Amino acid sequence: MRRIHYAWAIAAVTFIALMGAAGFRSTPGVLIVPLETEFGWNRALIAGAVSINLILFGLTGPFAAALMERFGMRKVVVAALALVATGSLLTVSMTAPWQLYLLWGVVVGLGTGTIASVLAATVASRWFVKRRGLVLGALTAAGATGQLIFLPFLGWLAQNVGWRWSAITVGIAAFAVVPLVALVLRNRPADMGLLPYGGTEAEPVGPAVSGGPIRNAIRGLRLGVRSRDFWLLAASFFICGASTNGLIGTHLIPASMDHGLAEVTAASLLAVIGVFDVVGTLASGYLTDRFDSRRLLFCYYALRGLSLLFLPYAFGSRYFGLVLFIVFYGLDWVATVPPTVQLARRVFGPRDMPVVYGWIFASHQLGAASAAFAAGAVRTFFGDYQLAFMSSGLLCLVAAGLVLRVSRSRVEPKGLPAPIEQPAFS
Amino acid sequence: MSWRGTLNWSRRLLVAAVAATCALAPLPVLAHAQLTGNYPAPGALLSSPPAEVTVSFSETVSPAGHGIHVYAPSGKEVGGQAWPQGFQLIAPVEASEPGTYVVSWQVLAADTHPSRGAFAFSVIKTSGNRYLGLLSGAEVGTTTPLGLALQTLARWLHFAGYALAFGGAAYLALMRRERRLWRLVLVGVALLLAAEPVGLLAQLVSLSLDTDTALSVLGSGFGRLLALRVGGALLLWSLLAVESPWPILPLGAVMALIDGTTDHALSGQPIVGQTLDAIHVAAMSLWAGGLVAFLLAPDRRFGRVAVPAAGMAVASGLLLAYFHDALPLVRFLPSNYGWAVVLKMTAVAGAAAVAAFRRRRLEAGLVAAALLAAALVVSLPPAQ
Repeated sequence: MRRIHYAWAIAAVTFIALMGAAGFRSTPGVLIVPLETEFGWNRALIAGAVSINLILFGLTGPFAAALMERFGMRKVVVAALALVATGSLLTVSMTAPWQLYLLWGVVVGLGTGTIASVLAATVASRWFVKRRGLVLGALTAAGATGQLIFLPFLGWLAQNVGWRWSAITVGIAAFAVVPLVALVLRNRPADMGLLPYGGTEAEPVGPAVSGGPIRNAIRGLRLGVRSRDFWLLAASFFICGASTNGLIGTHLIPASMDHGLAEVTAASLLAVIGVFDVVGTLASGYLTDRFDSRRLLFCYYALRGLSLLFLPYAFGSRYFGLVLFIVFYGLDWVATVPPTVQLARRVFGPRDMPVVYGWIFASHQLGAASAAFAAGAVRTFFGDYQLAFMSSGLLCLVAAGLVLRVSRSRVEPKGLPAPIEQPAFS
Repeated sequence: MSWRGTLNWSRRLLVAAVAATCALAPLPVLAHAQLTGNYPAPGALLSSPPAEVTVSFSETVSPAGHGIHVYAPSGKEVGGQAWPQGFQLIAPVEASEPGTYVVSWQVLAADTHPSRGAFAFSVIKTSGNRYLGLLSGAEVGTTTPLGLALQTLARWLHFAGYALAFGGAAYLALMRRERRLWRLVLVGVALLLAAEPVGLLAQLVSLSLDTDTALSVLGSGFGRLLALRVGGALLLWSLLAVESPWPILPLGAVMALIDGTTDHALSGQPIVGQTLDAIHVAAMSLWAGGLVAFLLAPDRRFGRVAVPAAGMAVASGLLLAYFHDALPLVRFLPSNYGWAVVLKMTAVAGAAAVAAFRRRRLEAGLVAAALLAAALVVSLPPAQ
């Protein structure tokens, strides 16, 4: 084989940027206690900033996609990294709660959301034809990897050296990625006179999108809501977010402690999920290149639903049952992303996919937020999580049925570029 | 047509193998929890207050909600939270007041069947108690008539849904593929889903309609099974998108097994009971569901499936009856349970007789009646 295709360099830089974004986004978690001690702010106050951060992280997607469409990926990612760095470094000198809200909540939330939500989908869609699924899987796994690498380290810094050093580290790390992105990241293969990796002809990208980014984000939404497939994908992704980040991510530790596990053991369960998440997402990317995405998603959601129905039995049984659940659930954690992106691309075409996928991703975050709240309410009201686990399990089975019903008539040829369809909307 | 080719025999074998493997999976199965004794004895006059109240059963039970309520002569509630211990349910009691106490209990058996009852005892002297009315409640079996009716309805909906969904799918797989037959399967899914809320309501009406009981029932084995059955129905709905009946059949085998844990099965030999029960339910669905499919889209080959399926259903039913020690039917006849069994057998025999004259509509009606009788049999406690 001749020299390595430039698309791989793009993928590598994107991987690093995504790893950083996920790590930065979850930093407030380790800062809660130190901030409490230093400023005497209560937990609800600090959690408010985290919520703003999460909401913006979810809602930025479509707008970020529209911005990238207008100004190019390179400029947008550089600006986002600069935002993260500035926000993070400025926290060092903060003195009042509103500064926390503005910096960690708004500035860092917008910055990380811009990078983490749609960048992976856009890069994989524009630069790869062969191995698109695998690349998507790897880029999605970057998020989990970032959290696994950054969180313990930042937590250690916050505990032993001071929380300001955690914030400074994040700022410096974000700045360090800027030159890499500026030098390597390119918008489209055509800009360099290349074809996408494994592509046989330049993809017609359609007429360039005109109009302001906000208008384009709204246009993407209007395009989406008229399509049955959009609702199917958004609803299944809502359930995906609800059953992963919302339910298990937020409540597995307290639920395990309800059943007599020590907090350290319970927390290590989540770490195990993180490790298997990386494996599962890579594998899912590999499978997405080879099999029908709808069938893959059906399997992921059905198995996830069944394992949630099994969870109450697992809590009742030995430790082994719980470990089995964890490994299985970890493998399935964000394995849904590569096939969902692939389906969105097929339905909406490469030009409109990033913005529409941005909205589907927002639905994922909305699901996560609702489930985190609803499961807490169930626990408070019923004194037990069983109902929350079982209803999420059943919802996952509904999602399994939804994804199989995505545009049945158009069957995607395996491993070949998706048919380019420009929806009638203009 | 290609689906009749040799390759499909391997598929059929696969389905049979999956079904057989599932059918052999061991799960705990028992019958209704029946009362075997109380402490203090019903109507006893004690000289000193008891420290606790004990209700004993024929098998392990779990308390539904509070489990045991103890009402003092003044009407005050004096019992603590009950806990299960082996075959017993025990609750601490604070019976310092002299007079008559009323104890009411409600439990769930391992097969999720609800039971409840009440008795009274006195300390030092007898007295009035405004809860004495609980002792003379009109009970059928171990629950109220309304509770029993709802339980029967829920099980009937479930059996009918199962028959239409999986019998319909088997007809699609083995006989002919027609669009309206898929609608039959969809109706089956709807019935399966509708059965579950009715079942939950039945459970609550059979015990008591309060939040405490509702939470406890949902959190119990009944709640978990309810979720599994709804899950099975949803999975079936998902698979309808594939438009191939083959993946539906193994799911049907698994659902038959889940049913085995809630119908009366054998306490001594869980595996035998479970297998027989699964075979009974699956064979029933081939016959009953296939029959409705036949009425919609006749196929002359149907008899080749229907006759063995009906034979299998009858044979496994008789074996189940034999293992339940129910075959000398006369023994049961005075009881509601016995009459329900007679009703079921009559309906089945009638359906078989009518089938010989190819009166398919009448046969379908009689099979539906047999399913209703079966739902009643399962909802009633077997007579001792």
